[in-house]
Amino acid sequence: MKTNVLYAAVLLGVGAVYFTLLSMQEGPESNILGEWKEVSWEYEKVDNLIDTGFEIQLTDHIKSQIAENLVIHEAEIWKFASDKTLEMQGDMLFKSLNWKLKGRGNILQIQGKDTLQEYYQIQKLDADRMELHFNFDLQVRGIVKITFERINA
Amino acid sequence: MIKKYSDRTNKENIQLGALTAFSAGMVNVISVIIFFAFTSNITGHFAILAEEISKGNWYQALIVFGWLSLFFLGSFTSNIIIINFNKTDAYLAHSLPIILEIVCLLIVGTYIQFYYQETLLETELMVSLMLFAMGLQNGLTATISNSAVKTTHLTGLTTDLGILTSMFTKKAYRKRPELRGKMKLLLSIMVSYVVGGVSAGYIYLTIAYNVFYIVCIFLLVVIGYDFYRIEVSSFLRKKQPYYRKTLKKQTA
Repeated sequence: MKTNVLYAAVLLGVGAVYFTLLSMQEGPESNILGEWKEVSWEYEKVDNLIDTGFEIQLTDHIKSQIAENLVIHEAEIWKFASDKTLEMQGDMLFKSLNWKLKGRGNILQIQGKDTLQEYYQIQKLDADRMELHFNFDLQVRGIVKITFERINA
Repeated sequence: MIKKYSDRTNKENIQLGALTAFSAGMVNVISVIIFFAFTSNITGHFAILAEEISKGNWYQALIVFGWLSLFFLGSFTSNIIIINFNKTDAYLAHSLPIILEIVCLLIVGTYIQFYYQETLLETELMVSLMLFAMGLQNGLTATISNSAVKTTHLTGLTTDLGILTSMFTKKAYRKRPELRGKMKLLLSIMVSYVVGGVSAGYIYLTIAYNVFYIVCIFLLVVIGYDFYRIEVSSFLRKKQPYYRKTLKKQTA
């Protein structure tokens, strides 16, 4: 009987602490809301012998080639709304898409009306900065990192 | 397949291991396809938990901790049912965790089919239920087989397989029937898990969320097999004098 009470108490205690801590955290679905500006595109070349991390900046030409067939092509400002719409703006561009988060909030799914779903890995997401990664295999084989800075909440 | 607790034969372990590993493989692959989260490789989740803590992503760390806890809770529930009811009704005690697993998977399948809006909260809850289901299954198979059968993750199994394969370089070990039996068991679990995963990937393209119902059918086979063999045949023997006296004599 004493053991049963102890087990129940531990279970309830851990559950209470867990849900209290969880309620204090802001989830990625609310963190991502707002307006974000692309500040850099970098890549990590997988077959590079010297590990240079993500320090290689992509030229506009290569960036354009990589993104040519992607829904994010030429987008510079990304606006995530709470109704799951994502507006992308560029010099000559305005797109309205849909966004969803998958996994534990680490996968961003973007889909337009007539486009295939695209998935990006959210590597970092805080109040001011967001980093998205995606794998690519063109001139730059490896992982591309897109960094954003928040311009409006 | 699930009724016996002790004196289990290798054949019973292979049947149990193959069917449940097939289901686990299907569940794991389908959850990756739909939710982008594994539901049966716990080692991977521990690694992710450590990674999220080191990055300071406390929300994600808590979510992964919750998932791990639910797998633990599934295994705990499974074993608590078995140790409490095993003496009164072994078949019921061993079937109940699988019935609970079926209920969890049915909830997930039905919810995805009719209500899923693809919000993060829904994803997290569905993955939680699936991890609890996998914990139930792994707890059951490990308990009733004396830890010989573990079907939801293959780290330990691959280690055992490596050890056994190296032992089989010596003739003395190759001749030992218990080691040959263990090799068959491990291979059948591994093959079933992979085949289950591949099948889920293929059939998802045509039948989508109905994969969950197929997994439930496989689990029903696990509990139905023993029910048929033990309960129905026992009922027939007891209640059917014609069967007992005439047919049985003819077949004997």
